[in-house]
Amino acid sequence: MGDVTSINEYFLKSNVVGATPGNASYSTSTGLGGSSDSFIANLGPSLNAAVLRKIDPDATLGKFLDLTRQAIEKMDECIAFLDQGKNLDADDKFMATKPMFAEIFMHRDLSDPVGLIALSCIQASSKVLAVTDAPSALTEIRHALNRLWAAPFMSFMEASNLSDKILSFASSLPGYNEVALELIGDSDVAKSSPT
Amino acid sequence: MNMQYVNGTEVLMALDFSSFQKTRLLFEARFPESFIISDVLGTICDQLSARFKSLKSLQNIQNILQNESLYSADNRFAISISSTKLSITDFKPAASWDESFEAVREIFLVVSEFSRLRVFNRIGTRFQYSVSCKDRKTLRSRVGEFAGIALPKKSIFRIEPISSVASYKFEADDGDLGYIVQLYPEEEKLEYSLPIGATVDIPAKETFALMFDVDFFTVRPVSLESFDIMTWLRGWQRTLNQDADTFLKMGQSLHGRRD
Repeated sequence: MGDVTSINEYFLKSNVVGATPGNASYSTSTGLGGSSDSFIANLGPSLNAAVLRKIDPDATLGKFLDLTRQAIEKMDECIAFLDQGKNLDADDKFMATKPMFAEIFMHRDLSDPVGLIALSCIQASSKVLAVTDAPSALTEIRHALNRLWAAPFMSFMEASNLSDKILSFASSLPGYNEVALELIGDSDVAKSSPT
Repeated sequence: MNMQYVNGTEVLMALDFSSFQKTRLLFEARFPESFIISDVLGTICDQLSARFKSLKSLQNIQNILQNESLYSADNRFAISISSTKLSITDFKPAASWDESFEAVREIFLVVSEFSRLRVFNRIGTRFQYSVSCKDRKTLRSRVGEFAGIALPKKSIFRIEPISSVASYKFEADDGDLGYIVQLYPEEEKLEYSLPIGATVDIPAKETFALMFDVDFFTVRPVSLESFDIMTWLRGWQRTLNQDADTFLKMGQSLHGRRD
């Protein structure tokens, strides 16, 4: 959440980060009424980029938002499988998501942050041989995509911060033993392996 | 205007969207009070003067009282900037909206960047179309037809009308976005003020037009990082092209049923 210059902006950004692709808008906290410097409290809930998709779903932005939403949903499923200990399913889901990052990258003309974050996702995902190696990277990728979906025209500084976080988790990966073991049927060994 | 004459009498025919001509495009962005805007106004104008062939200040007492700076660009665009609002009007839209949209985009981006605007309370765009009418009577009956109201022929409120005019306004929103559609008469009269003693025979000029005015706007605030002005403008223009006829037909069929 870079480039935050005031507490009001922090609330605005944190709410946009918290937005989910199911909604065109997010709800901001309404408990800020007493804050003298809080313009968010006065403005009420804000809209995010999804509102523009409503106007023109066939525009480049609409297609980008659809694609990013699909990638986020796949990442959600991947994270859920991982939490349930279904490593193979999680890995399959992640592999299916990889090409979507390249598709998102094709929309880089929209803004520099779109290009930067999509490229970081491609770079990070290409280093992940097995999804169990980098569960934190998944969370970071999901978080960055969610933010990109809500605010594709964010500042370059913020996009750089998100990109740094994605790439930092992908820099050291131990290998893909767990998935390999589960694949050959030795799931007990797989479950007992340290992540 | 889509008209037919039967035995020399004008008969009004149903209007469709293709009968209307582009008249004006208005874009307005309202934002929380920006105190820096008066400091950076010079820089904004400097940037805009590179974009337009001519940029002139149109300050008058009313603007000053409203803390607003008004400019004319290329004798076509009016740009009004205040600490809480930016509005741009294109008075001479070309056959394609692209030129208008591009100018609006550039002005919006320059003002947003130099004024450090990050959040907009409301963003609105009005597309104004018109169809000219032969005279006042035709215009008013045409508006009455769309408004779905029969003009009163007897005394109401103890006033027997010798002149009456109707207009139509419809407002809708879905919590995120909204629109206001208006149909109203616009009468323009050209008047001359000559020096005392001057006698020039200039005919009085009056024009009558039926305005079709659609205002699209955000209901809730939107941040700059979530907003793309070209998607906004082009999206609404496409939507208008798709649905304007449906709206006009609804208005006219409503009137037909009442008759």
